[in-house]
Amino acid sequence: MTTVDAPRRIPQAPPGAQRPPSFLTLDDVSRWYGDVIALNNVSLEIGPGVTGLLGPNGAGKSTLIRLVTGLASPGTGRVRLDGAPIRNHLPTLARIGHVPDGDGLYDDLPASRFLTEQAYARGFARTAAAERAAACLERVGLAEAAERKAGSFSKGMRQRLKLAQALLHDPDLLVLDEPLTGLDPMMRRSFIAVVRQLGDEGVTVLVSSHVLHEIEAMTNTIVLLHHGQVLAEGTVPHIRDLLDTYDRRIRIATPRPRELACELLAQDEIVAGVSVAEQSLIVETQRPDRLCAMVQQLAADGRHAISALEPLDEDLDSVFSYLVN
Amino acid sequence: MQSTNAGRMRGARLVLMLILIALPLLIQTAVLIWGEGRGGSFDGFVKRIQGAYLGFALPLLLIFLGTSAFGDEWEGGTAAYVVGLPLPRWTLVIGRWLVTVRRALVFVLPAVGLMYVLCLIDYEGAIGHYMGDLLWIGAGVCLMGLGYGAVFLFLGLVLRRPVVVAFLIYLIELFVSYLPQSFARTALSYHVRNLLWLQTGHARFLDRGVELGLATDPVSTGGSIFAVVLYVTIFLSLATFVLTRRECSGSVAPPEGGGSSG
Repeated sequence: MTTVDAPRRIPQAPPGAQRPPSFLTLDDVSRWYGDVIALNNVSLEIGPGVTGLLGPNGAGKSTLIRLVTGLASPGTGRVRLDGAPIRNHLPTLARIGHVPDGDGLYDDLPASRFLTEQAYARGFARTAAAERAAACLERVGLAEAAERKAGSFSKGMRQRLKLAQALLHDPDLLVLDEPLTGLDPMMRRSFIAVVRQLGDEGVTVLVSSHVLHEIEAMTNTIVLLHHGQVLAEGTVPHIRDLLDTYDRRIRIATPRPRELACELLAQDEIVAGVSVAEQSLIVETQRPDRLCAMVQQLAADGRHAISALEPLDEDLDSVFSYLVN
Repeated sequence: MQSTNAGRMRGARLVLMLILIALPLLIQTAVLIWGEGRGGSFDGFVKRIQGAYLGFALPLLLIFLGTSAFGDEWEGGTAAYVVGLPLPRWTLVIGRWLVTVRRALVFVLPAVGLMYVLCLIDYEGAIGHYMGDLLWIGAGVCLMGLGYGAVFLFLGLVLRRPVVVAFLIYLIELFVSYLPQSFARTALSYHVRNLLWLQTGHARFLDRGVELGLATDPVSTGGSIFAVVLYVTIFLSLATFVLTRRECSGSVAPPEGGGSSG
């Protein structure tokens, strides 16, 4: 973890110190806007590492982000970081970094000046603030554009500047609201790499998106929101395991798919359906563990050559479709 | 892009401010060159300060600057960078208020000084003679800036389209300040004029109630200063209260009674 100068007021861990894990908790949180309920009785605990907040537009993601960054109050329930309240609670706010959605930046300010002022307002001394700003610009790949005004930045550069701003004070909780919007593939990759690295460093990172593969590229731990409620939370395979009412689809690569299909169909308590393709077959089952054991046994007995055995619907797209539909 | 629009708005405001400040000076310069001495006197100076700067340019500048002190942050989608800072809200409010007043005074105080010179340059020794009065007028301009700055900053926080409403409120306040009896004493501009009348003795700043013989007991210098301080304290406290409670959507103005963005 990069640690630059001691700030004026905010205590900071010495270089090399282990970051204590931070936990964000929401207890029975609800929030209304007039008659519209944006969040409905949401309870969550989010720990160190990257957690994806996923849901379609209108699911309540932005409301949840506003609550955990202290920009809004819950109607009922409590939002806390390591047991401490967030909204209007300055010590907690000092531990949170936020990349807001939207395009708002101070267009008339050079990137370095914007970050220096932000760092100064966050408690760094003038010199330390400038050094910290330079370090953060370097980290997000904007060092060469440091003296350019934000108004001249591309969308991707603006997103990276917002990330740099959120990293200035080395936050324990980093919240990113739709951070990949408008980024080209190269920038997207580098942005994702930074987020993953922060997660590996022990920062509690919450990333919202309505694009499944964006979240999948950053983390395997997700919270699914729909109509203001938590539909599911955990790792993608774990959530998939919860869906035992749905058949799982497993692809088996073999040179003789028809023969293997006949043998599998005889096991009607395990296999619900089979579709045969060239050099492979797709099996639908509610007992994937037993199916895998059976196929492995067939391969071990030398009756079939199996070159691949892979689940087809453990990706986030499939999980989300199952849950929402 | 919202923040670019906000930047264009700031540019337009700057041009308007320069026009507001420069126009009386240009007129006075023209009068000085071609007017054969007309308008050149301390009385003329007070007339222009009262009409052009205290009564018009300064309040208008503060309406633009005060209402945008926080309003621009919400309009431009940058509010999250301000209210997300781990700073007490009252420090944010006082910081913005002082910056707002400083910006206005940076324009107005030099203009007042220049107008003083333009009005008295033809009279030998007059510039030095009235220097004490000029300093009191400068102090009055500062007090008015501090008072109106607090009022319009508060209005910028609570209103969605604050400029028009702030202008109407200013007109009402100005009207009240010229009412006889104790009505006028509720107005901020009354106390600034009263202070200047008491210190310079110039009839243009005279309390209308006193002028009409209706007010028997004019407010003292200390009383007027206290009234301005009270105004500032009340409106900055209200602004702090509103900023503490106000929610932020991050990119655009918060939903008006409903709806969420995601």
